[in-house]
Amino acid sequence: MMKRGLSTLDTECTPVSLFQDRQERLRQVARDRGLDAVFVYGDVSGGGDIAFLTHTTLYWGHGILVIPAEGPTVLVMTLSPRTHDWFRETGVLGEMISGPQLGPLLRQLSIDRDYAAVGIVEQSDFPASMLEAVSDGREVLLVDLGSPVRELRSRPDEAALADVRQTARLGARGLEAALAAAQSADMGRVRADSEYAMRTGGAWDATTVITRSTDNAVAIQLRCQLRDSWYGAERFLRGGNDANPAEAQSLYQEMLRQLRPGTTEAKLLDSVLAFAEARGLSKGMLVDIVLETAPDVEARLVFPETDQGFAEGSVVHAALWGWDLDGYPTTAMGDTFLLSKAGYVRLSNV
Amino acid sequence: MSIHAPTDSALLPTRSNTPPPEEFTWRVNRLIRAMAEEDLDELLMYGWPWRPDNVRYLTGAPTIGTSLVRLRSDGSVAALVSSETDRAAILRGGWVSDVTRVRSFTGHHLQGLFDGVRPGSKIGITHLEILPLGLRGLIDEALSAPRLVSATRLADLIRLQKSSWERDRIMHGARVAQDGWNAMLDSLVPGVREFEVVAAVEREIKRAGAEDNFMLIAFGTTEVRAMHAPEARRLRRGDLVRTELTPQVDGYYTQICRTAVLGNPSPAQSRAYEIFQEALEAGISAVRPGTTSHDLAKAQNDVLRRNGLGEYCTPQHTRVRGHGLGMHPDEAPGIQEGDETEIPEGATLVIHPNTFTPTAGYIVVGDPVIVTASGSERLTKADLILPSRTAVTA
Repeated sequence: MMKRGLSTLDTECTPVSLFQDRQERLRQVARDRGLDAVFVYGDVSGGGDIAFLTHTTLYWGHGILVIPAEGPTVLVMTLSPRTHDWFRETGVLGEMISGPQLGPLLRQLSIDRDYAAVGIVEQSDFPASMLEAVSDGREVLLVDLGSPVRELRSRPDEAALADVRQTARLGARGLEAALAAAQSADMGRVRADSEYAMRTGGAWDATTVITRSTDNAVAIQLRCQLRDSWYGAERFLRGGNDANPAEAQSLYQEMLRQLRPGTTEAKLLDSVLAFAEARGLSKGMLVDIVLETAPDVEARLVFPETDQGFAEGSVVHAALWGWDLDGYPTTAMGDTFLLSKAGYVRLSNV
Repeated sequence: MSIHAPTDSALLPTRSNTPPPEEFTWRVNRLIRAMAEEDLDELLMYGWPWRPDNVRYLTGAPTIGTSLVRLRSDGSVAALVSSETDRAAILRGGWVSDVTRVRSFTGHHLQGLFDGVRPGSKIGITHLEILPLGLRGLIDEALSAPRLVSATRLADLIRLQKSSWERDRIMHGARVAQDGWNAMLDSLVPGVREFEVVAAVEREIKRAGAEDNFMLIAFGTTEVRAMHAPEARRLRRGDLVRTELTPQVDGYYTQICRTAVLGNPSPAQSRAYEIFQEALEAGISAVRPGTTSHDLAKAQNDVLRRNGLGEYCTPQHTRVRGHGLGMHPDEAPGIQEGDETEIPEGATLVIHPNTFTPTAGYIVVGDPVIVTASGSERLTKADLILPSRTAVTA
């Protein structure tokens, strides 16, 4: 629902020029394609693209980042003007415009600046009514730019990779705390201690989700965010010990054997299911694979480009889940990996 | 998957927290009546990570991905979800058994969801205003000449009036919020960093059984004009500490707003707090069935205006004088002058006259209430005296 961790701009750690350079790359896209501006939509749950470009977290609510071909970046948002000082302190932004409805704000901005051609990042995921507002009664060319920010984010550069590793360290802190607390039967404590460990380490956000099985085991799903970097991990525990059945562990190992550049979620699932069928495994268990670059992106996309595969250098979260027919978990194993030429490097050792 | 994935609410150890079947019947019957009043043939609840609340209202299950849930006028419900975790959660909830999970929505999948929809049907969709272009295109493709209208307001008004089961969740949430505030007071020592305070509060709230928490803060003195996110700033003696604490218990958010001072309050801080207390009491006193959102805001603003703070009741400095509470932390109606939404018995609200003052900076104080036949039941009571941390020696 909202971010609940440290949000501060440390220019020693992340220089302003880093975000200016990233914004400039989109400006260049606009200029190369003859566009007046690029629009990037985000909300509190799916704001990683905007965070990548501006170091801004939409702490609650939603907004649109407007990157003109020339001139300062504008954040159009539903958060009130009272928050502008805070956004200015913690992000790399030019102007801010606030109001209760984004569509009319975006329309007025487009009229004021005489935008005739606009590039839309992930257009299929952009609110339809807002694009309609921009072009209502006006000749505005809307160009779907695909996922240029997502592509940049999924293959982190050196600076971003440092963030990824830091996020993994924070996530590992949370996982260690969760595993320690899971010795007790108090699942509230598992969540509390785990999230506390991540937040006090400086995470932008941290969540530990626990789902009970039917036989006194629990699936723990941990997420940690620092800027636009994410770490995810899953465990299945009973009394603090690994409760994943042996056959599920062999499926997970098969998934890892297939985890390499070029892989996709569908390919991984096919491999695992074929492996299971050949060995007569997983009967009565619904197996699911999750493979994602960053959960904020994947959760928002209704139409993921699943057939492309992840490139070498991508950071992915991969997990194997098992469910019984009533919807209760029977297994959960997952971690965050850097895809390398040889396969993958796991980003934490907890 | 989202970092905001709600927790399976089967965690609370001592209370029954699965919505009973009669709760589902109560909700569906009211929605069907509202559909008839709006002449809707179909109702679609659209949910995504930021706003899963309408889907949860109809399925009883927390979801984390994209979902569309169809309610037919005969009361049958079918769900299309993008996440296996969501399919599992809906099945565990036990209210809806017709659940289809697909990795990526296509027109074909939507045709399955819309099986039997007549050409030209009038279809209400919650959050049509934010519906993604791709999903909108698939709906248009799957349906023959649909008449799509927003059902956001319809769902808001239905959800405004709570069942007794829902009110019980809000009441429990108020106790958790109070626990969180107590933990916050315990954490307030000079030198502590803002995000460390937030971490301590979140820990306590999670220990108490909350699945999520919406928490705004603002630490500092007269320079503070709004709430924001936690930063690395260290607390100092004389700082006002403000928070909106909104734990979510079994899906329901309950909010309290509190202000404390690190050390002894200054005369200006004490005076400002007295005025806000008076405004809060005026707002709560005005709560009764049939009153409007406007009335509740005016009751509070009148106190502020009488004390020379009228300028700070405007959008330049503040937003609302409270709002609804439920499956979203900032539910309709936003309590503000000009909003004529009628408040029904059974509604749950937070009343908060929060705004900026030139003498003490931003002040927040607010309590949750349940609207009863004769007025309201107040679920918490903000301290009458600005709580101070007199032991500090920074």
